[in-house]
Amino acid sequence: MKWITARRRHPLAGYVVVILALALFGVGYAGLAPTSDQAQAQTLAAEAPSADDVDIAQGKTIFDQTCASCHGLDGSGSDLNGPDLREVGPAALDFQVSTGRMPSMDPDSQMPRKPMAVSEQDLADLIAYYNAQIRTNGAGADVPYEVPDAAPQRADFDQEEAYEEALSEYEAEYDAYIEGASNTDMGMKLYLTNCAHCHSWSGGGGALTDGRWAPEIHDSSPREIYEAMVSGPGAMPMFSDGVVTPEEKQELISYVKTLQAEPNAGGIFDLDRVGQVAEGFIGWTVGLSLIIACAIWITAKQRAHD
Amino acid sequence: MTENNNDNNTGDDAKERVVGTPTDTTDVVTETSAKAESEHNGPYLASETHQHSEEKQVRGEKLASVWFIIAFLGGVGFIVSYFLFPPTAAGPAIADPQIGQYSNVLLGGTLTIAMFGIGAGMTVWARNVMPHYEVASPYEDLPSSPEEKGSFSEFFMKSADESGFTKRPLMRRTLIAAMLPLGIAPIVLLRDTGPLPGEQMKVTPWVDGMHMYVEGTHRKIRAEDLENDPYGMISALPALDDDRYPHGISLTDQAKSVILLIKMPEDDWKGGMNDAVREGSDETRLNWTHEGIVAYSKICTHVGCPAALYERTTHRILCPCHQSTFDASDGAKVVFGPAHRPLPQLPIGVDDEGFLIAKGDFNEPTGPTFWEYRKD
Repeated sequence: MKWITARRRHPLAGYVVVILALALFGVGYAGLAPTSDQAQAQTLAAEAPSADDVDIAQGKTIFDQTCASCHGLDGSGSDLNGPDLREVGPAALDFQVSTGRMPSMDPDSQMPRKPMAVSEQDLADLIAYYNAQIRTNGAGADVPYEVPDAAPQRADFDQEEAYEEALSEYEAEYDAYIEGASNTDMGMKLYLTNCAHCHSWSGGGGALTDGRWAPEIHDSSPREIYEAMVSGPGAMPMFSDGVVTPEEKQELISYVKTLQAEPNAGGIFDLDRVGQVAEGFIGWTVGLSLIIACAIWITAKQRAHD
Repeated sequence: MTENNNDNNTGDDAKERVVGTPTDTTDVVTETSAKAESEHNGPYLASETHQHSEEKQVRGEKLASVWFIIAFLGGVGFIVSYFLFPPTAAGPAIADPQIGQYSNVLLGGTLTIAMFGIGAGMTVWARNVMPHYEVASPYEDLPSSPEEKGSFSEFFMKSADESGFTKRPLMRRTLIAAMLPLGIAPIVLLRDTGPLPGEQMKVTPWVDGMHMYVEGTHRKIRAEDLENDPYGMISALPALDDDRYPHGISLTDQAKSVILLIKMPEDDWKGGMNDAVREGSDETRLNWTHEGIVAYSKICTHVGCPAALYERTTHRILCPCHQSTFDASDGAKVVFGPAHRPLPQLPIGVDDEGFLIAKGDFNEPTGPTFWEYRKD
């Protein structure tokens, strides 16, 4: 404290404060900005799990324990801001749970992407229970099992060989799906005309009204993108297979994958691809503040007693 | 001057001036500056127009040198970083976008350090080493005196008479005639900006019976394609296949005619949907929808950005440029932002085969500002 007291009237103290404040904002932003290397949920179910592999009773237990408090025991929703699940379809359920958005800790706020809270097997059981007991007349979209999900994780396998095998199987499936897209130009147009407004040209997401936001989609697996389109999570409108056919969705997903693979052009001062306007704004604000600070320094009146 | 001053100062070390006392005459650089100093009316008090103490000058010299050394290192660093990433494939090649980033950061960073260092060093020099006083040199009044002005106009008129300009009307008039076409020429050249728009800005390619393509594809969309989307949205264009354009439709027409097809439960319609589509019409906005599907122009009525951030929960259409917000369930009325009028609506229906069709053109011209003028 003494050190500061002794120097706070120093002629350079003002500039030091300005520079420290700018540095604090810069570093603070970098610390608070969402990072893209979050853990990915893994799945490896190329086909719908057969009836033998799932345990509907176990699914009911999971539902009653983790979902029913907001969505009601019969899935019809409740006053706690849990929407009616009976017509949303299993694709919506798979999307919300596999991206870690559900179970939600706070039903009143939008959930960010998180590691999945339950295991793959639990999710399969949950979907089986949902299909058997809660879904009304087959309403809503089915889980697109033919679309590859995220890569398998080593931690989920006991043995190295099993993991290697699952990984190569997954990679073959993934490559086949992405390379099966032959008209990425169409995918790009569909993305730019229907998705880019909210999710940004780079897939970085953006703000909506009332504090909602469109999430960034860099981590999304092909299946999650597909499910988001058919189920319309949150405020997102739906793009069923009638509106955007499965082939067109494949082109679109392939385009999103090329977007995700795009090297980040931000260098070491990257702003997480917030978009040109926001980047320009930040550049202007920070740059102009520095220039003004320099101008003040150059022209500052010199006092005789300095 | 600075050197003189330094010399002076070195000699005067013994009787260094006490801060706040009037300037010692021996401190003064030259006769002229002494005069200017004693008479100056600038913002500085006489007590502040002083030269720096030797101590301070030495400190300033050191500080400035540090900045200049930093600048020197920055300059050398710039040259080094230029050669660090060769364009050839051997080693870290600049063609690799990631390496290109480092190269950019290094080049820009070192150049910044070099230039900032020079500037900072010079500022330190000026502030801590150079003496500090003001020099004033008085201006004369800017406007000429009345006498000068009078003599000039006299001279001007006399010249005009002598040259014969006032006396020889034929010559004068032909000269004016010769200049006239040149004066008009710039106005005539405006023709090159193209033909007048005429009705073009008021009509789009949408006509009764026109099918719709999902934008980006050449697939006609049916009403039943939206069956599984209780809250659907898709961008669409008129189904045109004009061979002259790579996408079957000119960019101008695309920009005018692109629509947002939105499907919502029919319970969600608000009162605005019962308004007449345009003044004096007996058709309501609801008549222009089809089974919960409504078509609005995608072009924001503010400055023409594509407004397509559609929130299915609130039915708001948000324009990303200036946050104009329209309520799709209420005739696209403006609920927020700088836009002045609702998004134009397109009348839609289905043909015998179930394909979605337009049943005419928009209720109002699409697009931005130009139309705002007409309204206000």
